[in-house]
Amino acid sequence: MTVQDVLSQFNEIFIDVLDDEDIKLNLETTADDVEEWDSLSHIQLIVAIENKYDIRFTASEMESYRNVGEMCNGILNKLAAKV
Amino acid sequence: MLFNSLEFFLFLPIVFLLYWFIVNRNLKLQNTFVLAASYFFYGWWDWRFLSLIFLSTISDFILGILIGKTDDQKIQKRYLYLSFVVNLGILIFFKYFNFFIEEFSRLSEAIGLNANYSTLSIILPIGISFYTFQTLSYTIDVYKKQLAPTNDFISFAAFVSFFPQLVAGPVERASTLLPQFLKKRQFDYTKSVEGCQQILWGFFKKIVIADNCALFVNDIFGYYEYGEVSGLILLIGAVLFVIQIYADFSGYSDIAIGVAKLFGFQLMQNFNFPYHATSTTEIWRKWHISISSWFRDYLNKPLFFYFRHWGNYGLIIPLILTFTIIGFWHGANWTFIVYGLIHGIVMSIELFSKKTRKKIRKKIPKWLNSSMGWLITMFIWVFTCIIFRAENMTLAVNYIAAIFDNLFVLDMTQVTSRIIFQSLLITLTKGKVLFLLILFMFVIEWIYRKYTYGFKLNFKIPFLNWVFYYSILLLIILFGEFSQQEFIYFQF
Repeated sequence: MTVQDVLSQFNEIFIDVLDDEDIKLNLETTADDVEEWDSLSHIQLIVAIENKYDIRFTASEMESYRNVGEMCNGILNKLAAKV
Repeated sequence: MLFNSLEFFLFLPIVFLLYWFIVNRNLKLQNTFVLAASYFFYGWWDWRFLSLIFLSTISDFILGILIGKTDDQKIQKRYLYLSFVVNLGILIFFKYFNFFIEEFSRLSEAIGLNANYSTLSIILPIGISFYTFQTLSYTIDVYKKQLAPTNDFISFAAFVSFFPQLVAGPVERASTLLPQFLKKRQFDYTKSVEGCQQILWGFFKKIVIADNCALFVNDIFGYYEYGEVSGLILLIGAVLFVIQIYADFSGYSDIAIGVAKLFGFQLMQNFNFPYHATSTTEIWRKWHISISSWFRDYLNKPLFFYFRHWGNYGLIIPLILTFTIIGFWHGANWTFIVYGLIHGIVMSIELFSKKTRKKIRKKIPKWLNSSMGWLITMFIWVFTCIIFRAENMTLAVNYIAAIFDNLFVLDMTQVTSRIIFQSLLITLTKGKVLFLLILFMFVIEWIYRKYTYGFKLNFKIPFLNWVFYYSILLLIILFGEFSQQEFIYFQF
Protein backbone atom coordinates (compact mmCIF):
# COMPACT_ATOMS: atom_id res chain seq x y z
CA MET A 1 0.00 0.00 0.00
CA THR A 2 1.28 3.47 -0.83
CA VAL A 3 0.67 6.81 0.85
CA GLN A 4 -1.70 7.70 -2.00
CA ASP A 5 -3.79 4.56 -1.34
CA VAL A 6 -4.11 5.42 2.33
CA LEU A 7 -4.96 9.00 1.41
CA SER A 8 -7.86 7.98 -0.84
CA GLN A 9 -9.18 5.59 1.81
CA PHE A 10 -8.85 8.40 4.32
CA ASN A 11 -10.88 10.62 2.10
CA GLU A 12 -13.79 8.17 2.18
CA ILE A 13 -13.59 7.86 5.97
CA PHE A 14 -13.60 11.65 6.32
CA ILE A 15 -16.60 12.03 4.01
CA ASP A 16 -18.45 9.37 5.96
CA VAL A 17 -17.62 10.55 9.49
CA LEU A 18 -17.86 14.29 8.87
CA ASP A 19 -20.89 13.87 6.61
CA ASP A 20 -19.53 16.18 3.93
CA GLU A 21 -19.33 15.05 0.29
CA ASP A 22 -17.07 17.92 -0.71
CA ILE A 23 -14.00 16.97 1.34
CA LYS A 24 -10.85 16.62 -0.76
CA LEU A 25 -7.83 15.74 1.35
CA ASN A 26 -4.20 16.10 0.40
CA LEU A 27 -1.07 15.32 2.38
CA GLU A 28 -0.82 18.87 3.72
CA THR A 29 -4.43 19.13 4.94
CA THR A 30 -4.81 20.12 8.61
CA ALA A 31 -7.79 20.45 10.91
CA ASP A 32 -7.94 24.16 10.08
CA ASP A 33 -8.72 23.39 6.44
CA VAL A 34 -11.79 21.24 7.09
CA GLU A 35 -14.75 23.00 8.65
CA GLU A 36 -16.28 20.08 10.52
CA TRP A 37 -12.97 18.73 11.82
CA ASP A 38 -12.95 19.70 15.52
CA SER A 39 -11.57 17.98 18.59
CA LEU A 40 -14.65 15.79 18.87
CA SER A 41 -14.95 14.65 15.28
CA HIS A 42 -11.20 14.09 15.43
CA ILE A 43 -11.80 11.27 17.93
CA GLN A 44 -14.54 9.84 15.73
CA LEU A 45 -12.08 9.85 12.82
CA ILE A 46 -9.47 8.08 14.93
CA VAL A 47 -11.94 5.37 15.91
CA ALA A 48 -12.98 4.87 12.27
CA ILE A 49 -9.33 4.64 11.17
CA GLU A 50 -8.40 2.29 14.00
CA ASN A 51 -11.26 -0.01 13.14
CA LYS A 52 -10.55 0.06 9.40
CA TYR A 53 -6.87 -0.90 9.70
CA ASP A 54 -7.19 -2.82 12.96
CA ILE A 55 -4.51 -0.76 14.69
CA ARG A 56 -4.33 1.28 17.90
CA PHE A 57 -2.88 4.71 18.45
CA THR A 58 -1.44 6.04 21.70
CA ALA A 59 -2.40 9.48 22.95
CA SER A 60 1.07 10.89 22.32
CA GLU A 61 1.13 9.51 18.76
CA MET A 62 -2.14 11.26 18.11
CA GLU A 63 -0.79 14.58 19.31
CA SER A 64 2.38 14.29 17.24
CA TYR A 65 0.60 14.24 13.84
CA ARG A 66 0.51 17.72 12.35
CA ASN A 67 -1.30 16.97 9.09
CA VAL A 68 -2.99 14.22 7.09
CA GLY A 69 0.29 13.18 5.43
CA GLU A 70 1.99 12.47 8.78
CA MET A 71 -1.04 10.46 9.84
CA CYS A 72 -0.93 8.39 6.64
CA ASN A 73 2.75 7.68 7.19
CA GLY A 74 2.05 6.80 10.81
CA ILE A 75 -0.45 4.20 9.67
CA LEU A 76 1.88 2.74 7.06
CA ASN A 77 4.58 2.38 9.72
CA LYS A 78 2.16 0.64 12.05
CA LEU A 79 0.96 -1.72 9.32
CA ALA A 80 4.56 -2.52 8.37
CA ALA A 81 5.37 -3.27 12.01
CA LYS A 82 2.42 -5.66 12.20
CA VAL A 83 3.73 -7.82 9.33
CA MET B 1 -6.48 45.53 44.32
CA LEU B 2 -9.47 45.78 42.06
CA PHE B 3 -9.12 47.16 38.54
CA ASN B 4 -12.01 49.51 39.29
CA SER B 5 -10.41 51.01 42.40
CA LEU B 6 -8.58 54.21 43.13
CA GLU B 7 -5.48 52.23 44.13
CA PHE B 8 -5.24 50.64 40.71
CA PHE B 9 -5.79 54.01 39.12
CA LEU B 10 -2.55 55.12 40.79
CA PHE B 11 -0.77 51.76 40.61
CA LEU B 12 -1.06 51.33 36.83
CA PRO B 13 0.53 54.59 35.63
CA ILE B 14 3.33 54.37 38.21
CA VAL B 15 4.18 50.80 37.26
CA PHE B 16 3.87 51.65 33.56
CA LEU B 17 6.30 54.58 33.80
CA LEU B 18 8.83 52.72 35.95
CA TYR B 19 8.62 49.73 33.59
CA TRP B 20 9.38 51.63 30.39
CA PHE B 21 11.68 54.35 31.70
CA ILE B 22 13.60 52.97 34.68
CA VAL B 23 13.85 49.19 34.53
CA ASN B 24 13.96 49.05 30.74
CA ARG B 25 17.68 48.33 30.51
CA ASN B 26 17.62 44.55 30.47
CA LEU B 27 15.35 41.54 30.58
CA LYS B 28 16.22 40.48 34.09
CA LEU B 29 15.37 43.88 35.49
CA GLN B 30 12.08 43.94 33.57
CA ASN B 31 11.01 40.54 34.89
CA THR B 32 12.11 41.22 38.45
CA PHE B 33 10.07 44.40 38.38
CA VAL B 34 6.97 42.63 36.94
CA LEU B 35 7.31 40.04 39.68
CA ALA B 36 7.60 42.64 42.44
CA ALA B 37 4.67 44.65 41.06
CA SER B 38 2.54 41.49 40.77
CA TYR B 39 3.23 40.39 44.35
CA PHE B 40 2.46 43.91 45.54
CA PHE B 41 -0.79 43.90 43.52
CA TYR B 42 -1.89 40.59 45.02
CA GLY B 43 -0.57 41.32 48.50
CA TRP B 44 -2.83 44.38 48.63
CA TRP B 45 -5.75 41.97 49.22
CA ASP B 46 -4.07 39.60 51.57
CA TRP B 47 -0.30 39.18 51.71
CA ARG B 48 -0.60 35.85 53.58
CA PHE B 49 -1.87 34.06 50.50
CA LEU B 50 1.23 35.06 48.55
CA SER B 51 2.76 32.01 50.18
CA LEU B 52 0.33 29.79 48.24
CA ILE B 53 1.30 31.35 44.93
CA PHE B 54 4.93 30.95 45.90
CA LEU B 55 4.40 27.29 46.83
CA SER B 56 2.68 26.58 43.53
CA THR B 57 5.45 28.45 41.67
CA ILE B 58 8.44 26.80 43.29
CA SER B 59 7.05 23.27 43.12
CA ASP B 60 6.26 23.43 39.41
CA PHE B 61 9.55 25.19 38.68
CA ILE B 62 11.46 22.31 40.29
CA LEU B 63 9.21 19.60 38.83
CA GLY B 64 9.64 21.10 35.36
CA ILE B 65 13.42 20.87 35.66
CA LEU B 66 13.22 17.33 37.04
CA ILE B 67 11.00 16.20 34.15
CA GLY B 68 13.48 17.70 31.70
CA LYS B 69 16.40 15.88 33.35
CA THR B 70 15.17 12.34 32.84
CA ASP B 71 14.14 10.37 29.76
CA ASP B 72 12.30 7.73 31.76
CA GLN B 73 8.63 8.23 31.02
CA LYS B 74 7.52 6.55 34.23
CA ILE B 75 9.54 8.95 36.37
CA GLN B 76 8.34 11.90 34.30
CA LYS B 77 4.77 10.80 34.90
CA ARG B 78 5.40 10.61 38.63
CA TYR B 79 6.61 14.21 38.66
CA LEU B 80 3.56 15.24 36.65
CA TYR B 81 1.25 13.58 39.18
CA LEU B 82 3.11 15.31 41.99
CA SER B 83 2.33 18.64 40.34
CA PHE B 84 -1.35 17.64 40.20
CA VAL B 85 -1.25 16.75 43.89
CA VAL B 86 0.32 20.07 44.89
CA ASN B 87 -1.84 22.36 42.74
CA LEU B 88 -5.13 20.54 43.02
CA GLY B 89 -4.34 19.86 46.69
CA ILE B 90 -4.09 23.60 47.38
CA LEU B 91 -7.24 24.19 45.37
CA ILE B 92 -9.28 21.40 46.95
CA PHE B 93 -8.25 22.26 50.48
CA PHE B 94 -9.01 25.96 50.24
CA LYS B 95 -12.03 25.79 48.00
CA TYR B 96 -13.79 22.46 48.42
CA PHE B 97 -12.77 21.04 51.81
CA ASN B 98 -15.80 22.31 53.75
CA PHE B 99 -18.17 21.35 50.95
CA PHE B 100 -17.00 17.74 51.02
CA ILE B 101 -17.12 17.60 54.83
CA GLU B 102 -20.66 18.96 54.91
CA GLU B 103 -21.90 16.65 52.18
CA PHE B 104 -20.20 13.71 53.86
CA SER B 105 -21.84 14.50 57.21
CA ARG B 106 -25.20 14.83 55.51
CA LEU B 107 -24.72 11.49 53.80
CA SER B 108 -23.70 9.81 57.05
CA GLU B 109 -26.78 11.19 58.79
CA ALA B 110 -28.96 10.01 55.93
CA ILE B 111 -27.80 6.45 56.36
CA GLY B 112 -28.27 6.66 60.11
CA LEU B 113 -24.80 7.35 61.40
CA ASN B 114 -24.44 10.03 63.98
CA ALA B 115 -21.73 12.02 62.35
CA ASN B 116 -20.45 15.26 63.64
CA TYR B 117 -17.52 16.33 61.54
CA SER B 118 -16.54 19.88 62.06
CA THR B 119 -15.68 22.15 59.20
CA LEU B 120 -12.74 24.53 59.23
CA SER B 121 -13.01 28.24 58.86
CA ILE B 122 -11.14 28.64 55.62
CA ILE B 123 -11.00 31.87 53.67
CA LEU B 124 -11.00 31.39 49.92
CA PRO B 125 -7.78 32.90 48.55
CA ILE B 126 -8.64 35.12 45.63
CA GLY B 127 -7.73 33.87 42.15
CA ILE B 128 -6.78 30.40 43.37
CA SER B 129 -8.68 28.56 40.61
CA PHE B 130 -6.89 30.61 37.98
CA TYR B 131 -3.22 30.55 38.87
CA THR B 132 -3.17 26.89 39.93
CA PHE B 133 -4.48 25.96 36.47
CA GLN B 134 -1.95 28.17 34.74
CA THR B 135 0.94 26.66 36.68
CA LEU B 136 -0.39 23.19 36.00
CA SER B 137 -0.42 23.90 32.27
CA TYR B 138 3.34 24.52 32.47
CA THR B 139 4.14 21.11 33.91
CA ILE B 140 1.75 19.36 31.52
CA ASP B 141 3.26 21.17 28.52
CA VAL B 142 6.77 20.29 29.68
CA TYR B 143 5.69 16.68 30.17
CA LYS B 144 4.20 16.62 26.67
CA LYS B 145 7.44 18.12 25.32
CA GLN B 146 5.61 21.12 23.94
CA LEU B 147 7.83 23.38 26.00
CA ALA B 148 11.37 23.17 27.30
CA PRO B 149 11.61 23.56 31.09
CA THR B 150 13.00 26.92 32.14
CA ASN B 151 15.94 27.50 34.49
CA ASP B 152 15.05 31.14 34.96
CA PHE B 153 13.16 31.29 38.25
CA ILE B 154 12.41 35.02 38.16
CA SER B 155 10.81 34.80 34.71
CA PHE B 156 8.84 31.74 35.73
CA ALA B 157 7.60 33.34 38.94
CA ALA B 158 6.62 36.45 36.97
CA PHE B 159 4.74 34.24 34.47
CA VAL B 160 2.75 32.62 37.28
CA SER B 161 1.89 35.84 39.08
CA PHE B 162 1.61 38.30 36.15
CA PHE B 163 -0.74 40.87 37.71
CA PRO B 164 -3.05 41.71 34.76
CA GLN B 165 -4.31 38.13 34.63
CA LEU B 166 -3.44 36.75 38.07
CA VAL B 167 -6.79 36.85 39.83
CA ALA B 168 -9.33 35.99 37.11
CA GLY B 169 -7.50 35.02 33.96
CA PRO B 170 -7.34 34.68 31.03
CA VAL B 171 -5.68 31.45 32.17
CA GLU B 172 -2.70 31.38 29.84
CA ARG B 173 -0.86 28.35 28.50
CA ALA B 174 2.74 28.20 29.54
CA SER B 175 3.76 27.51 25.94
CA THR B 176 2.37 30.86 24.76
CA LEU B 177 2.97 33.17 27.74
CA LEU B 178 6.26 31.95 29.24
CA PRO B 179 8.30 32.52 26.03
CA GLN B 180 7.13 36.15 26.11
CA PHE B 181 8.84 36.50 29.49
CA LEU B 182 12.10 35.15 28.06
CA LYS B 183 12.41 37.96 25.49
CA LYS B 184 12.99 41.60 26.31
CA ARG B 185 9.85 43.65 25.60
CA GLN B 186 10.02 46.68 23.32
CA PHE B 187 7.48 49.45 23.55
CA ASP B 188 4.96 49.19 20.68
CA TYR B 189 2.84 52.27 20.10
CA THR B 190 0.09 50.60 18.03
CA LYS B 191 -0.31 47.76 20.53
CA SER B 192 -0.46 50.24 23.39
CA VAL B 193 -3.20 52.23 21.66
CA GLU B 194 -5.14 49.00 21.20
CA GLY B 195 -4.56 48.20 24.85
CA CYS B 196 -5.98 51.56 25.91
CA GLN B 197 -9.04 51.11 23.69
CA GLN B 198 -9.64 47.70 25.20
CA ILE B 199 -9.20 48.98 28.76
CA LEU B 200 -11.63 51.86 28.12
CA TRP B 201 -14.22 49.50 26.65
CA GLY B 202 -13.73 47.05 29.51
CA PHE B 203 -14.36 49.76 32.09
CA PHE B 204 -17.47 50.85 30.20
CA LYS B 205 -18.84 47.30 30.27
CA LYS B 206 -17.97 46.85 33.93
CA ILE B 207 -18.85 50.19 35.51
CA VAL B 208 -21.72 51.26 33.28
CA ILE B 209 -23.41 48.04 32.16
CA ALA B 210 -22.56 45.33 34.68
CA ASP B 211 -22.71 47.37 37.86
CA ASN B 212 -25.96 49.10 36.88
CA CYS B 213 -27.56 45.78 35.96
CA ALA B 214 -26.35 44.50 39.34
CA LEU B 215 -28.58 47.02 41.15
CA PHE B 216 -31.69 45.43 39.62
CA VAL B 217 -30.38 41.87 39.73
CA ASN B 218 -29.40 42.01 43.40
CA ASP B 219 -32.80 43.41 44.33
CA ILE B 220 -34.79 40.90 42.36
CA PHE B 221 -32.72 37.86 43.36
CA GLY B 222 -32.57 39.11 46.94
CA TYR B 223 -36.28 39.67 47.54
CA TYR B 224 -38.22 37.12 45.52
CA GLU B 225 -38.10 34.48 48.23
CA TYR B 226 -40.05 36.63 50.66
CA GLY B 227 -43.06 37.28 48.54
CA GLU B 228 -44.86 36.67 45.35
CA VAL B 229 -42.96 38.61 42.82
CA SER B 230 -44.42 38.83 39.35
CA GLY B 231 -42.93 36.19 37.07
CA LEU B 232 -42.26 38.82 34.48
CA ILE B 233 -40.04 40.77 36.86
CA LEU B 234 -38.20 37.57 37.77
CA LEU B 235 -37.65 36.89 34.09
CA ILE B 236 -36.35 40.42 33.54
CA GLY B 237 -34.06 39.88 36.53
CA ALA B 238 -32.67 36.72 34.96
CA VAL B 239 -32.10 38.38 31.59
CA LEU B 240 -30.40 41.32 33.28
CA PHE B 241 -28.15 38.90 35.15
CA VAL B 242 -27.18 37.28 31.86
CA ILE B 243 -26.22 40.71 30.54
CA GLN B 244 -24.47 41.57 33.81
CA ILE B 245 -22.31 38.46 33.91
CA TYR B 246 -21.22 38.95 30.30
CA ALA B 247 -20.44 42.64 30.72
CA ASP B 248 -18.69 41.95 34.03
CA PHE B 249 -16.45 39.10 32.97
CA SER B 250 -15.77 40.12 29.37
CA GLY B 251 -15.20 43.66 30.65
CA TYR B 252 -12.70 42.34 33.18
CA SER B 253 -10.99 40.30 30.45
CA ASP B 254 -10.76 43.33 28.18
CA ILE B 255 -9.07 45.31 30.96
CA ALA B 256 -6.68 42.43 31.74
CA ILE B 257 -5.70 41.90 28.08
CA GLY B 258 -5.44 45.66 27.52
CA VAL B 259 -3.19 46.19 30.55
CA ALA B 260 -0.97 43.30 29.44
CA LYS B 261 -0.64 44.95 26.00
CA LEU B 262 0.64 48.12 27.68
CA PHE B 263 3.50 46.04 29.07
CA GLY B 264 4.25 44.35 25.74
CA PHE B 265 2.44 41.07 26.35
CA GLN B 266 -0.17 39.38 24.21
CA LEU B 267 -2.74 37.38 26.17
CA MET B 268 -5.31 35.10 24.60
CA GLN B 269 -8.80 36.18 23.58
CA ASN B 270 -11.17 35.19 26.38
CA PHE B 271 -14.55 36.08 24.84
CA ASN B 272 -15.52 35.92 21.20
CA PHE B 273 -19.00 37.50 21.37
CA PRO B 274 -20.67 34.44 22.97
CA TYR B 275 -24.16 35.90 22.79
CA HIS B 276 -24.04 35.72 19.00
CA ALA B 277 -23.89 31.92 19.26
CA THR B 278 -26.64 29.80 17.76
CA SER B 279 -25.96 26.64 19.79
CA THR B 280 -24.79 25.81 23.31
CA THR B 281 -21.73 24.08 21.86
CA GLU B 282 -20.87 27.30 20.07
CA ILE B 283 -21.43 29.44 23.15
CA TRP B 284 -18.81 27.37 24.98
CA ARG B 285 -16.33 27.98 22.18
CA LYS B 286 -16.87 31.72 22.65
CA TRP B 287 -17.39 32.02 26.43
CA HIS B 288 -14.45 32.12 28.84
CA ILE B 289 -12.31 30.57 26.12
CA SER B 290 -9.16 30.29 28.24
CA ILE B 291 -10.82 27.97 30.74
CA SER B 292 -13.09 26.07 28.34
CA SER B 293 -10.12 25.36 26.05
CA TRP B 294 -8.00 24.38 29.08
CA PHE B 295 -10.55 21.74 30.02
CA ARG B 296 -10.97 20.74 26.37
CA ASP B 297 -7.26 20.07 25.89
CA TYR B 298 -6.29 18.68 29.29
CA LEU B 299 -9.45 16.83 30.32
CA ASN B 300 -12.02 16.39 27.57
CA LYS B 301 -9.65 15.21 24.82
CA PRO B 302 -7.91 12.60 27.00
CA LEU B 303 -11.33 11.39 28.18
CA PHE B 304 -12.61 11.16 24.62
CA PHE B 305 -9.50 9.25 23.71
CA TYR B 306 -9.82 6.91 26.65
CA PHE B 307 -13.49 6.11 26.02
CA ARG B 308 -13.23 6.13 22.23
CA HIS B 309 -14.28 2.53 21.70
CA TRP B 310 -17.38 2.83 23.88
CA GLY B 311 -19.58 3.92 20.98
CA ASN B 312 -22.07 6.68 21.79
CA TYR B 313 -21.35 6.41 25.52
CA GLY B 314 -17.75 7.24 24.70
CA LEU B 315 -18.97 10.64 23.51
CA ILE B 316 -21.61 11.32 26.17
CA ILE B 317 -19.57 10.35 29.25
CA PRO B 318 -16.59 12.65 28.53
CA LEU B 319 -18.83 15.57 27.55
CA ILE B 320 -21.03 15.40 30.62
CA LEU B 321 -18.11 14.69 32.94
CA THR B 322 -16.05 17.58 31.57
CA PHE B 323 -18.83 20.13 31.82
CA THR B 324 -19.91 19.01 35.26
CA ILE B 325 -16.33 19.55 36.38
CA ILE B 326 -16.20 22.94 34.62
CA GLY B 327 -19.35 23.83 36.56
CA PHE B 328 -17.82 22.64 39.83
CA TRP B 329 -14.65 24.60 39.06
CA HIS B 330 -16.68 27.79 39.69
CA GLY B 331 -17.30 26.95 43.30
CA ALA B 332 -18.20 24.45 46.00
CA ASN B 333 -21.94 24.51 45.49
CA TRP B 334 -24.47 22.13 43.96
CA THR B 335 -25.78 24.99 41.83
CA PHE B 336 -22.54 25.04 39.82
CA ILE B 337 -22.54 21.27 39.44
CA VAL B 338 -26.10 21.31 38.10
CA TYR B 339 -25.26 24.26 35.84
CA GLY B 340 -22.39 22.31 34.27
CA LEU B 341 -24.33 19.06 34.12
CA ILE B 342 -27.19 20.65 32.18
CA HIS B 343 -24.77 22.17 29.69
CA GLY B 344 -23.09 18.78 29.25
CA ILE B 345 -26.46 17.15 28.59
CA VAL B 346 -27.54 19.86 26.16
CA MET B 347 -24.27 19.50 24.24
CA SER B 348 -24.70 15.73 24.05
CA ILE B 349 -28.16 16.28 22.59
CA GLU B 350 -26.74 18.77 20.11
CA LEU B 351 -24.08 16.28 19.15
CA PHE B 352 -26.51 13.49 18.38
CA SER B 353 -28.98 15.73 16.59
CA LYS B 354 -26.25 17.09 14.31
CA LYS B 355 -27.38 15.21 11.21
CA THR B 356 -31.06 15.97 11.76
CA ARG B 357 -30.27 19.62 12.29
CA LYS B 358 -28.20 19.66 9.11
CA LYS B 359 -31.21 18.35 7.15
CA ILE B 360 -33.47 21.00 8.66
CA ARG B 361 -30.88 23.66 7.84
CA LYS B 362 -31.05 22.77 4.16
CA LYS B 363 -34.82 23.11 4.04
CA ILE B 364 -35.46 26.41 5.77
CA PRO B 365 -34.06 29.90 5.15
CA LYS B 366 -30.75 30.68 6.81
CA TRP B 367 -32.03 33.57 8.92
CA LEU B 368 -34.86 31.43 10.32
CA ASN B 369 -32.46 28.64 11.22
CA SER B 370 -30.01 30.92 13.01
CA SER B 371 -32.65 32.92 14.85
CA MET B 372 -34.33 29.72 16.03
CA GLY B 373 -30.97 28.35 17.14
CA TRP B 374 -30.20 31.62 18.91
CA LEU B 375 -33.55 31.67 20.75
CA ILE B 376 -33.20 28.09 21.98
CA THR B 377 -29.59 28.68 23.03
CA MET B 378 -30.43 31.87 24.91
CA PHE B 379 -33.45 30.25 26.56
CA ILE B 380 -31.24 27.50 27.98
CA TRP B 381 -28.51 29.98 28.88
CA VAL B 382 -30.87 32.30 30.79
CA PHE B 383 -32.38 29.48 32.83
CA THR B 384 -29.07 27.84 33.64
CA CYS B 385 -27.70 31.25 34.63
CA ILE B 386 -30.50 31.49 37.22
CA ILE B 387 -29.11 28.30 38.76
CA PHE B 388 -25.60 29.78 38.51
CA ARG B 389 -26.67 32.94 40.32
CA ALA B 390 -28.89 31.41 43.01
CA GLU B 391 -27.52 30.79 46.52
CA ASN B 392 -28.62 27.17 46.52
CA MET B 393 -30.61 24.67 44.49
CA THR B 394 -33.87 25.16 46.40
CA LEU B 395 -33.85 28.86 45.69
CA ALA B 396 -32.94 28.23 42.06
CA VAL B 397 -35.83 25.82 41.54
CA ASN B 398 -38.24 28.15 43.32
CA TYR B 399 -37.11 31.06 41.20
CA ILE B 400 -37.66 29.16 37.95
CA ALA B 401 -41.00 27.79 39.14
CA ALA B 402 -42.13 31.27 40.16
CA ILE B 403 -41.42 32.59 36.67
CA PHE B 404 -43.81 30.07 35.14
CA ASP B 405 -46.37 30.13 37.97
CA ASN B 406 -47.24 33.76 37.71
CA LEU B 407 -45.65 35.15 34.62
CA PHE B 408 -48.41 37.71 34.15
CA VAL B 409 -49.71 37.97 37.70
CA LEU B 410 -49.03 41.16 39.53
CA ASP B 411 -49.69 40.37 43.17
CA MET B 412 -49.17 43.57 45.11
CA THR B 413 -48.00 42.22 48.42
CA GLN B 414 -45.77 44.51 50.34
CA VAL B 415 -42.46 43.16 49.20
CA THR B 416 -43.53 42.91 45.61
CA SER B 417 -44.73 46.43 45.49
CA ARG B 418 -41.55 47.54 47.11
CA ILE B 419 -39.49 45.91 44.41
CA ILE B 420 -41.67 47.23 41.67
CA PHE B 421 -41.62 50.65 43.23
CA GLN B 422 -37.85 50.56 43.55
CA SER B 423 -37.44 49.30 40.05
CA LEU B 424 -39.75 51.98 38.78
CA LEU B 425 -37.84 54.59 40.67
CA ILE B 426 -34.62 53.44 39.10
CA THR B 427 -36.39 53.07 35.79
CA LEU B 428 -37.47 56.66 35.81
CA THR B 429 -34.00 57.94 36.49
CA LYS B 430 -31.73 55.23 35.19
CA GLY B 431 -33.65 52.26 33.82
CA LYS B 432 -34.59 53.80 30.52
CA VAL B 433 -31.05 54.96 30.00
CA LEU B 434 -29.70 51.57 31.05
CA PHE B 435 -31.77 49.91 28.37
CA LEU B 436 -30.30 52.25 25.76
CA LEU B 437 -26.78 51.72 27.10
CA ILE B 438 -27.15 47.94 26.89
CA LEU B 439 -28.39 48.33 23.34
CA PHE B 440 -25.42 50.59 22.58
CA MET B 441 -22.97 48.00 23.93
CA PHE B 442 -24.40 45.18 21.84
CA VAL B 443 -24.58 47.32 18.68
CA ILE B 444 -20.94 48.43 18.99
CA GLU B 445 -19.82 44.85 19.64
CA TRP B 446 -21.85 43.66 16.66
CA ILE B 447 -20.06 46.16 14.43
CA TYR B 448 -16.63 45.00 15.62
CA ARG B 449 -17.49 41.31 15.92
CA LYS B 450 -14.80 40.28 13.42
CA TYR B 451 -12.08 41.57 15.76
CA THR B 452 -10.66 40.17 18.97
CA TYR B 453 -12.40 42.82 21.07
CA GLY B 454 -15.57 44.85 20.68
CA PHE B 455 -14.16 48.35 20.40
CA LYS B 456 -11.39 48.22 17.82
CA LEU B 457 -11.83 51.73 16.43
CA ASN B 458 -9.88 52.41 13.28
CA PHE B 459 -11.28 55.53 11.66
CA LYS B 460 -9.19 57.07 8.91
CA ILE B 461 -9.55 60.45 10.59
CA PRO B 462 -7.93 60.29 14.06
CA PHE B 463 -10.26 63.02 15.26
CA LEU B 464 -13.23 60.63 15.02
CA ASN B 465 -11.47 58.10 17.24
CA TRP B 466 -11.04 60.78 19.86
CA VAL B 467 -14.72 61.74 19.62
CA PHE B 468 -15.56 58.15 20.50
CA TYR B 469 -13.01 57.91 23.30
CA TYR B 470 -14.37 61.01 24.98
CA SER B 471 -17.95 59.87 24.45
CA ILE B 472 -17.26 56.58 26.20
CA LEU B 473 -15.45 58.40 28.98
CA LEU B 474 -18.40 60.75 29.33
CA LEU B 475 -20.83 57.81 29.46
CA ILE B 476 -18.73 56.25 32.22
CA ILE B 477 -18.71 59.50 34.22
CA LEU B 478 -22.42 60.17 33.69
CA PHE B 479 -23.88 56.70 34.11
CA GLY B 480 -21.17 54.73 35.88
CA GLU B 481 -21.93 53.01 39.15
CA PHE B 482 -18.95 53.94 41.29
CA SER B 483 -19.42 51.70 44.28
CA GLN B 484 -16.37 49.57 43.37
CA GLN B 485 -18.25 46.30 43.15
CA GLU B 486 -16.07 43.22 42.88
CA PHE B 487 -15.90 41.38 39.61
CA ILE B 488 -18.13 38.29 39.70
CA TYR B 489 -15.34 35.92 38.67
CA PHE B 490 -12.98 37.06 41.45
CA GLN B 491 -14.77 34.71 43.83
CA PHE B 492 -14.00 31.64 41.73
